[in-house]
Amino acid sequence: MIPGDVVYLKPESAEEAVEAWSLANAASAAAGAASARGAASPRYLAGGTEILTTARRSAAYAVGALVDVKAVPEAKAAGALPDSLAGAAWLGEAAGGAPYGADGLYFGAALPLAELEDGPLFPLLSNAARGVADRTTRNRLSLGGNVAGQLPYREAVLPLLAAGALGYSALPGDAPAAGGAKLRLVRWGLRSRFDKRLALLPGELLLGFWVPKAATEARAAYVRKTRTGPIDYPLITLCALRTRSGAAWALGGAFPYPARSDEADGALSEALSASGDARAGALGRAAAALGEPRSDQRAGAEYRAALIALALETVAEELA
Amino acid sequence: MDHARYLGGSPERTDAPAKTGGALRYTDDRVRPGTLHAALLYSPYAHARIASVDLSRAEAAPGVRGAFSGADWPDTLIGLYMGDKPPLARETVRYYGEPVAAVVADSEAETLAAIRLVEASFEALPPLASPRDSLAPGAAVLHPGLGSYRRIPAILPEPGTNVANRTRIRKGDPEEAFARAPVVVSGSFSFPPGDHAAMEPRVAIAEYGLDGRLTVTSSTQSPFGVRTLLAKGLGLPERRIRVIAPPVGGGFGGKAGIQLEPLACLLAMRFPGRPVRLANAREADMVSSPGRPGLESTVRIAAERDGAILAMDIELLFDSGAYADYAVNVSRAAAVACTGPYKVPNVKADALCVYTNHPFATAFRGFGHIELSYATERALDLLADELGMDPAALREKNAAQPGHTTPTGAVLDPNTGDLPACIALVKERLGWDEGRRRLMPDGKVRAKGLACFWKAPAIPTFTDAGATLAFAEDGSAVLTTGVVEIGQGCFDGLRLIVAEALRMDPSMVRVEPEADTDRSPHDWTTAASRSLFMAGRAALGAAEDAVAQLKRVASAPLRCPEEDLEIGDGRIYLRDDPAHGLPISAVALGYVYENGNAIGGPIIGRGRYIARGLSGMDPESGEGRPGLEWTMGAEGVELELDPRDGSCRVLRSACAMDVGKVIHPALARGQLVGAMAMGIGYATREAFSFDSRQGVQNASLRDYKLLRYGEDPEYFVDFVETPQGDGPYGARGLGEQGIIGMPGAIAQAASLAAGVQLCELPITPEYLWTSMRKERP
Repeated sequence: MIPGDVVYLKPESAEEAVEAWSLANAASAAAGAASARGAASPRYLAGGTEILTTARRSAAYAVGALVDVKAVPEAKAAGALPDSLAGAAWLGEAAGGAPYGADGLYFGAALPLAELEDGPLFPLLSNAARGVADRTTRNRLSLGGNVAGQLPYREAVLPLLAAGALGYSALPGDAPAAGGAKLRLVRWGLRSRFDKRLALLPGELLLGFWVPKAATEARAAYVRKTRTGPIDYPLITLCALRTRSGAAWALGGAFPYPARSDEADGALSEALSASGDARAGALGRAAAALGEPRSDQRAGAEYRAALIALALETVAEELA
Repeated sequence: MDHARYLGGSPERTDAPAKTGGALRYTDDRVRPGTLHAALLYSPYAHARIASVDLSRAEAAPGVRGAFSGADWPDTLIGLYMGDKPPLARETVRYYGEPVAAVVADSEAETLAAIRLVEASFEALPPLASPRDSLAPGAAVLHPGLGSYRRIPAILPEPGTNVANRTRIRKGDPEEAFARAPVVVSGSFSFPPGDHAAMEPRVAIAEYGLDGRLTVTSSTQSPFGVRTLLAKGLGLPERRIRVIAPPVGGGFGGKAGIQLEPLACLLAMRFPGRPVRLANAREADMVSSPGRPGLESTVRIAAERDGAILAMDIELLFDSGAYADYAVNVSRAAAVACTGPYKVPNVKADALCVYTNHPFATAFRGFGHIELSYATERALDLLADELGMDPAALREKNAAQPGHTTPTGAVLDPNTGDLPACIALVKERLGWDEGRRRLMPDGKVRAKGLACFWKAPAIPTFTDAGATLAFAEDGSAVLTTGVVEIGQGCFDGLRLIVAEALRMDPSMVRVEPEADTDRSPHDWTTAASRSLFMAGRAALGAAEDAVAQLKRVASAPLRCPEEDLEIGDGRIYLRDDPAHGLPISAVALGYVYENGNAIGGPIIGRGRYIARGLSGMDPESGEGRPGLEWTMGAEGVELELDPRDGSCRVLRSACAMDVGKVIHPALARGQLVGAMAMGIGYATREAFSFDSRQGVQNASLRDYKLLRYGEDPEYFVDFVETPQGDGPYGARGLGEQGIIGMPGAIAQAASLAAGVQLCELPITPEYLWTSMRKERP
């Protein structure tokens, strides 16, 4: 049980959602000014598993208002890019030209992982989704919640990072009170906004991800290792794709955050075209590029490092 | 005895539709309007002095009726065998998760909000992290009051130390045997404590009536035990306490003692006339309420070159955590059975229950026997290695048989099960003689392991069971016992026993599903695999008594001597002229003649049982007969190891157990398969992990992993039937035993696969990988 009252809002469009968030935020700021406990920011709600379990356990995790985004059309869409997003402006630098043909597939942020798991559109994403929790929980877990959540694993982001996905989101408009737009729809390169975590702005509503068709059809490799049984957080999860220039990969579980780097991609690419000691050396550099794995209650750093080395060998064989 | 009509059939469980349909009402489904809700503040420290507890903000919160700390009950001590535990911590906290304060409010939401307003501050103290830490010279003494605690005489604490109980076994002349033995092996084995992880978290709802009677509805395995212990702990006579035990969603021993009831009662006594509900969230259930003990053990075995065991020297150090609870008796039970089911003429054993700053431990399925079994079975494997002997052959050679004596010197009587037959069945199921280790083409290794087990119930010498049998207008029978339904299915076994005794279709027999100390016959506790045996005996007695009464009443209208009457198929009839008789329905509530005259009245059969010939143990040597009936068996596994990363999976598992007589085959198999699965979890994943300050890192089901459906191996279950002369229809207990040998069997197989002797649990892939690397750097 979450002690205390929660305001629940269920908008039916991105515009309503962002507006609901802004109103709830203003209300809670006003209430917070009058209360010793301070303001509780509103949260976007999709599956709700993390919000529920965290609020239950931690007094520090305040829940004031929940804005349920499951009825927002762009957050539920899968397949073609929704028309409403076609004109989304670039947030920051345009993620560039050549790798992104017009052809691609879109995955809404409120899609349950179970649906991604069953869908044939992007097999690597299906695999990554299938690795998370158990089926009953995956019926609730959402793509956006998994990517933007607080847990260190966030496995669904790994295939998106490897694929160089674009993200789509909605931001409160600049000056709605003055008659300006209530909403700004934006797109951005996932890699450029993802350093250990996806940096979202206050009130920003994650709508979905767009993956180049070529990446969804590329040869892929997936390795996941747990402490014991399959239904557990990963010690390591590795997602890799064959690209035109070699390979791109991302690693979860090994660190308190999902990780990738251009250097690591470069080293794995080198390994694909090498053999013997050269290949082993390149795989070693690929692992080293992401840093020393962590030790925690699930496993020691040494064991994780060994699992990463074995996984990279498997991946190199499968992608070569 | 006639050929059994109903025993050995497997009718569907009567409670299956309600359970699978989610309609069964457990304790927490019975909250009445007007109930107050309690919540607890748990210690974030494993060991600390309580500097202050400020309740003022909580007391002022909406809906709050009261807030309490340890100071509210300055003298109350609760316990099981030993009263060592305050209802709320006083002055110090001794484990991570210990309740420090309580809030009672009108609603659950209000009480949960208010408990967050209690401000407690602590001064951390260095924690004791293991039994050996606690036994080290100069270790802090966690219970300075140990010498003055109320306790039962069978428990032997050592005041001034952290030893809550020491049970000694001295049999034969082990010193001489070790001195002359051609072969001696020695090993040390250990594992951390863990949780039962029963599906239903514990809950107690207490009401202090305006008539001064306390009524507690609780998720308990032991309504009568709770009544007695509440009487002792709260200073109320038994007549003023009523305990109701609805069906329980899994016990595994964790609900066999006393748990939330005392605090729920103390809180309820502050609010007469209002029920107070105290319920564990999952996380609290895992660490605040008791789990199972951990172990540190050293075992030495002396043997002849042919494998005959000459002597064992066993040290068992149970990690009891902060309080003694059931763990003191767990250590005692482990001493009683310390050698495992083998002929060992000379034994020296010391089983200690040691206080540490871990969550406290209580009974757990197997009651000390998994622990001792892991240690002795591992030591036997070291011996087999040393001798170059097949580990199954070593066990066959030393198997305990009738005429041998147990570690306490009790003679194994002719009711003793056939262990060699069990070993042979497991070997056959696993294809043991086709080879124990195989390298697979993909680089993985398959290996087999086999271990034996025994267990007698660890019970008071006067453990009892009562039963009554009454009838309805339709001639159907209802059995009432004090047994609690904890998922084990005992009631369906009892139903078949009564059906068999009345020669009546099982659909005409019902077993009352709820125990209530005001209404049910006395019954010690639903634990120790004794319910089918003891309540079964009582049920048989009740059936016989009812049959005699039915015959007496029927003999008048049937105009015959009672002894000419027979009962069967719902009728009473002349043995030599079965067509001449009456339906039971015409007799059970009294017979009515045509003119309206009536005789008889409602028939109530009464039955009772009390353990036979048990005695206490000599404090110096352990000599005595504490174990009623020994259930023995063997189990084995085949597993597959990937040496590259240590990942390991049990592929097949087999258990053969001598159960005397199988009453309900489907339920018996279910109990064994469940126990084997639990044993796999125990051996491969289930254990607490602690941080450096002994806080529990995995106190949630996100982090504390159980075996899941889909990870199960293939299960083979075989029964051997050497009748238990004094058991109902020859049956003996089988509820716990299937878990006992699994850790040993898995460790043996994994050690063989990895090429290194494993000494710890859980056997995780990382542990295997690390052990293999140490062996072959």
